Amino acid sequence: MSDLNSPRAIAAALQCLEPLHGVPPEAVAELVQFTTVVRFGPNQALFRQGDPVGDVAWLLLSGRMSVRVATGRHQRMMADIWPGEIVGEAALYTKGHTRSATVVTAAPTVALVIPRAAILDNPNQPAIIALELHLLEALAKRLRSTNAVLQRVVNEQRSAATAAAARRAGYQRTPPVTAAPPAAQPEPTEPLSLAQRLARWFDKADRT
Amino acid sequence: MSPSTDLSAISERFRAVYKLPPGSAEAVASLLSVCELRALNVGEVLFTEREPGLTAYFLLSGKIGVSRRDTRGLSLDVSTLAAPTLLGQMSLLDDSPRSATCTAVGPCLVAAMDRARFQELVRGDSPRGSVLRRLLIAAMSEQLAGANGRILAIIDPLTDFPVDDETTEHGIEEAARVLDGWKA
Repeated sequence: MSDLNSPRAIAAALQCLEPLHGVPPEAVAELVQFTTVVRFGPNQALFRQGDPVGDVAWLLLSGRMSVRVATGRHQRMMADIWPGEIVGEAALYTKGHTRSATVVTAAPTVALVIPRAAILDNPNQPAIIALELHLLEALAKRLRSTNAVLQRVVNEQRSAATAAAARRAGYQRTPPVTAAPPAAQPEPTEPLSLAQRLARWFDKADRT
Repeated sequence: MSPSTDLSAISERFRAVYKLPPGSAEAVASLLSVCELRALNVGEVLFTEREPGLTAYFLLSGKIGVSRRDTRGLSLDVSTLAAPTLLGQMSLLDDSPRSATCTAVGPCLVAAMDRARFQELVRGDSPRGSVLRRLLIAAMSEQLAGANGRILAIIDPLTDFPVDDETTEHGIEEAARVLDGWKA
């Protein structure tokens, strides 16, 4: 991606990204005219939690970004952003918010800067429609997968409580446990609280 | 649309609630104008949990009660949604069944959009399609951000007092309702 120094090269790179598959080349070339390319080194912040929402979003062309959220005491890694994904989309569609997370590059990264005005002034441009549809699909997937994680955590905790009660009662056989997710860690010796179990899942779950 | 419906005022309220840019109200009004208007009486069910989702709704006036069945099959009131809001759009986006039952808790006015029209608009290049996509993105972004905030509050509470599992489970249920769009 180091040779993205011409509109033609940028358009070619964009067409390789999933959201813009099937979009006519001339529409992708037009999108390039509305936007600029920006390069980041590792560990550079695009924006920080609490910043005014601004008026641009980024489409990742290469590299990786991390979404982090600071709570009262911790900095949580919420998700990774990969090429083809849009970050900071709140700036494009809503007004008056602050950024709800900090986004930092996790590797050398190249991104397309999408100004709010480009979206608002060209609502029927095919490449912009394709990006919006991709964003809708991504949001629907994130909503559903986060909900699935919540359900899974509650089920895990109930199963663990049932198993612990059975052990205390002296049963040899472990009662049926709901299907463990592939990435599940072994049960620790000390029982987890539901909030601790949720924290483990939330830190590692791929919700994209 | 009924002549008595003040579409421009309702559209401006949708624009404000979903924080769309100034000037979007006209496009929202145009979107609502292609919907079928339905008046609901108290107790009338808009849709039922677990049934296939065939229609998306814009609640134009009134309030809708949201209920869900628990693991024992008992109906639990989840929340009450007030106009203006979107309802039932997730089923049309990902073919999922209805995640709750929605019932009018007073006289309501809804604008109904069937699946075919919804898909045509959301994938099309018309101004109506554009504003529909933006309403959906705004609504879903809010749902995700709201639920993430609740989940983080559970994980990292501001007090040193341990929270029991029952309280945590209640918080998780609340976050799930926000994710589904049934609670702000």
